[in-house]
Amino acid sequence: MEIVEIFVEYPSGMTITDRASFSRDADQVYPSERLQAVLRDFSITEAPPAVSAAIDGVNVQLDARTDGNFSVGVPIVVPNDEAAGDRKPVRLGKAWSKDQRQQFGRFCHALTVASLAGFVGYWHSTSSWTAAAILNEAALAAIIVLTFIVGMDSMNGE
Amino acid sequence: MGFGVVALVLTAAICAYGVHMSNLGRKADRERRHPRVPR
Repeated sequence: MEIVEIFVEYPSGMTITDRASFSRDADQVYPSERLQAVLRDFSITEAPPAVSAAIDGVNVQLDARTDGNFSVGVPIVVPNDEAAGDRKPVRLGKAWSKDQRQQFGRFCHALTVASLAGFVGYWHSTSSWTAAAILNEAALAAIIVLTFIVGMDSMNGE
Repeated sequence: MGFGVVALVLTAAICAYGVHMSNLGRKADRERRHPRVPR
């Protein structure tokens, strides 16, 4: 028996992540009693979920069995954008994961704080408000707003 | 061009790249959850 991560995703958007036991010999995944009870309850009002598990670093589809357990199906292959017919002229790096988006949001907010400090420091150190000084302050203010909004958008808690 | 404008241009470029890659990531996640081709 091994412990694997199991993901239950409903079409409504609700996602449940839990740990389950995986028997390599039987090729089956046994969810916890608690998860089975939750799935039974949700089956009354929700459409059947897509269930997958991370086994040996590969996401595999799980097929529901009548006894409440799951049999291991085929690995889930995520088609890339080109295969889906969505060609982009510029493609720099792979699509970001949720964690990468979170980190980018934090980075943006670090820039926000740095710009805010620069804005205040510049303001207090400026004695004569020339056009260049005003332009710099305006640019810093724009950076503060831009990085804050982009950062919040990037970590929207999905 | 002053320091502020240079910083603004750099930040705008970083943000544009980040937004683009974040959207690609969200799209890939959606595609993984609800594939257009039934599994």
